[in-house]
Amino acid sequence: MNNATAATSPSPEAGRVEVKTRSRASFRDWLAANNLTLGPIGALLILIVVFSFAAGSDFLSKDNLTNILAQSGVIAVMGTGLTFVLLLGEIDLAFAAIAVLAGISGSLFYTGHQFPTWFFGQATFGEGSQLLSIVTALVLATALGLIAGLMTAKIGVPSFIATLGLLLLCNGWAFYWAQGEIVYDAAPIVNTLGGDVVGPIPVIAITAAVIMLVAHIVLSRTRFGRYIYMTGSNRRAAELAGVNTHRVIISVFGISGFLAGVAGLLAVGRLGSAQPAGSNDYLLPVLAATVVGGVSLFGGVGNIRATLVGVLVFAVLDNGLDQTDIDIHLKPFMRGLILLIAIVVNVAGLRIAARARMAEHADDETVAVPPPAAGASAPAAAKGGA
Amino acid sequence: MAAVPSPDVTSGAAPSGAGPGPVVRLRGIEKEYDSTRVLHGVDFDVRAGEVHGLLGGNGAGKSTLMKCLAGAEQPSGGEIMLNGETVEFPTPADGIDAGIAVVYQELSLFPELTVAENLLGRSGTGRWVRWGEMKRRASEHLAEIGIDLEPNARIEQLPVGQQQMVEIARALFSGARVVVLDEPTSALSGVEKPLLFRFVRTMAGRGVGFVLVTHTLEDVLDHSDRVTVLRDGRLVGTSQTSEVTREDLVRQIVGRHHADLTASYDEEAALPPPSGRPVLLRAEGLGLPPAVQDMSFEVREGEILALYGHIGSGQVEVADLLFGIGRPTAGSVTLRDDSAVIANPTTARDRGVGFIPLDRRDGLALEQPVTTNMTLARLHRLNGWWLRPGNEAKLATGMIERLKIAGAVAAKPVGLLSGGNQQKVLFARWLVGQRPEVLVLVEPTRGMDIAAKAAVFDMVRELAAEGTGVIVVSSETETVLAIAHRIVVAKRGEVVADLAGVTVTEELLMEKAS
Repeated sequence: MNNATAATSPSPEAGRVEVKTRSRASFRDWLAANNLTLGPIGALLILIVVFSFAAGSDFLSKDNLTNILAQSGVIAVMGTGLTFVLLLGEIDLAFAAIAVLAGISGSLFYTGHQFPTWFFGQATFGEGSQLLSIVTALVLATALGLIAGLMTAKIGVPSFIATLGLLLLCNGWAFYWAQGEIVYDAAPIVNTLGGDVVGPIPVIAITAAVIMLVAHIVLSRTRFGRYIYMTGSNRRAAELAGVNTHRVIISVFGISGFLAGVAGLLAVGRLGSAQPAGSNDYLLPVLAATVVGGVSLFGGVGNIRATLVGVLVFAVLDNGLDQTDIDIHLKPFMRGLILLIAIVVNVAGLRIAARARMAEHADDETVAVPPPAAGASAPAAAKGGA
Repeated sequence: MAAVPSPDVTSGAAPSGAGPGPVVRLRGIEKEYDSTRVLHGVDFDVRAGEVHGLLGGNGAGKSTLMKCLAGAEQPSGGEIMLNGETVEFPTPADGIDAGIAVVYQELSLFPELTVAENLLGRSGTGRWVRWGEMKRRASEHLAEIGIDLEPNARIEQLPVGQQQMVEIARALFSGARVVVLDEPTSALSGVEKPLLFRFVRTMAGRGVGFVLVTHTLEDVLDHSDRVTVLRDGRLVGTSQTSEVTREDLVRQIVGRHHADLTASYDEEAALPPPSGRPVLLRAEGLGLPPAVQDMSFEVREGEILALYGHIGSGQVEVADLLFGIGRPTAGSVTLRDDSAVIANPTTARDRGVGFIPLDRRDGLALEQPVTTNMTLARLHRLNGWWLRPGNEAKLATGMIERLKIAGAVAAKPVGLLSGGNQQKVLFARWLVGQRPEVLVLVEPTRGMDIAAKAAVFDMVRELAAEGTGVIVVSSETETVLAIAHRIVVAKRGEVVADLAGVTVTEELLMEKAS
């Protein structure tokens, strides 16, 4: 791409042409494309090495690796939804609660448990139908996400507050429908997707991988994905280019709700039961995993690769700590400490990378020379007429 | 307490240091970034009691020179002499302590705080805030320098011109003897400008030396004692302002006799009579009080319409309405024959209107690449649901060449380009893939040097020649006279003149608008 500009006309202004050697440019391009995830990948490798010594030989065993993948599944799906929202420069605090509600309602619907319906007494719904119960749970989750999006885009409620309210509402809703009790049993499809294993690979990990792949394609290859990045980077600018940002925001929260619903069902399949108080297990870990991966909280910067790495860091850390001899009461502290270090190192690394990029591009403008003198260095005059 | 006494200023005494000797002298200043030299042995000095204009195109080295003076940058060679002694300012704080203050274009006041708090912020009133004491001292100080302002007024409630005076007052209060004003008039209305210069003149009379860094030649010609021109990091010369003409200065800044550029500085323009071509956009009785009261105008195919007025006359707000940003409470906009309401920018775009906002930062996603910023408005036409990055990059590269966007590559984050080149990226956004029927540009030349302005003029003319109706909203008479086919003058939200087929002068425009 850089070399394409070298064929400009000889007019004096257009004469300022990038002069870069191919190897430097391609190395920089590679760095630029990956600088977001290099730090987290390093952290992941370090953790794996440390735990394979500290946690004994079991850590790298096949069973344990399968376990790590299985542990990653739910967080990965939720993290994917959250990534969409973060790229938009918004925040979603409700996804974990929506997930729990979806899991509870999916199980209640399928198993034919009675659940209260506010003013109309006890009811059952969709008993025995896998499709009906699952689809209804997902529609419910998506609708809740869309409501958060509508509040944010149309009414202008900050997403932090809109989703905080939704978090409380969904927690209460799940508590009410489940009558505060754990709901056992779920649709067989849910159990298969969440709990089964194909060879050494857990099905939940395959499901998560497929979802992440689709999300990656949507974000990097579609117009909608482009609109998400541009809106997250500068909402006003996107609007003034004619992008319907309201639609983008509402859709993204809908996606987050839908993926939360999927994750909630998968969690039920994995654990074998739906727990009305389960949302605390997910909210902060998923946020932490996404941010550790390098997705910016300020919008416009990040990708699914980053989320994937962050999720793996989190899963390895969790699993590895469980297998060490550290006092069990100290483990949550250690987990927090290591995540904190990882985040600080990553942010510092990104800042250094950004500064290097600034310097590199500043030098682009001055390295530019008129085409006839290609190769010769006449940098000083370059800035003159600009 | 104020650590630094401010001898000449706050005492109100007769000018003491107003002798001919310079307060500050820069000798042979050189500056290199990496291996690029941006200043080549520049001499510059400021005398007590003078207003010294500093001119030069973008990249000529004006701001670097001023940064060296203020301690924000360290010169790689040469020396700074203060009252005859060689000094160094390792940090901006050292420059301030030595009495050198810079008032930047983006003011550095705290908008939520009061005038008094902003004035005394740096010196304070000790550990505890004593409101009465603070107000009293602020009042005294403002009275001494002849500014009539309520010390309890919040900064954000003041007009920009008064904010600027507060900032200058703050510099003087902390003991500044040399004040650098960076583009002080670019955000001022026609009424505020003389007030500012009267104030500057008064303070100069008391011995303060002012440096006036600007693109506006009038300001320098009318209000400075001496003028220095830089070009490509070199000193072109320093002259007595009374001995140079506007043409001299333009020639010095541009460095060659350029017919287009000097022509663009004509003080009058003969507008062509309205063509018989179809009307593309007609605004009728538009109103959105308080800014827009009653505005009607039209633009035809291939016509460049200037909406001229002092800042705050409603022309910026009416431009928003043309692009569906907000809805008018009265009147209508008709595009060709379609008078349906322009509900939002998406509708406006789909009906062929393009828009370049007042503030570039409202138009660009700075951390995203040039390409995606350029193709954003036409993404739905260039692609289906799936993006074609190769195609986009090719289009962007083509635009970079066509508009001569210096230093740009398609993949580079747009925030790393200079202001003028960012403006070109915004311009390119509306040319990619499809020419707009109507393009609305708000203050497209604000804060630009002559060469960058000429580039904007060329783009506008070229687009109009292809048939687009261009609406240029501007409060700069130079810009309006240089490119308009038709001039609509706005005042207090109403159209007060619609000029076509006549010869207009700067004086005429000022008279209509004021």
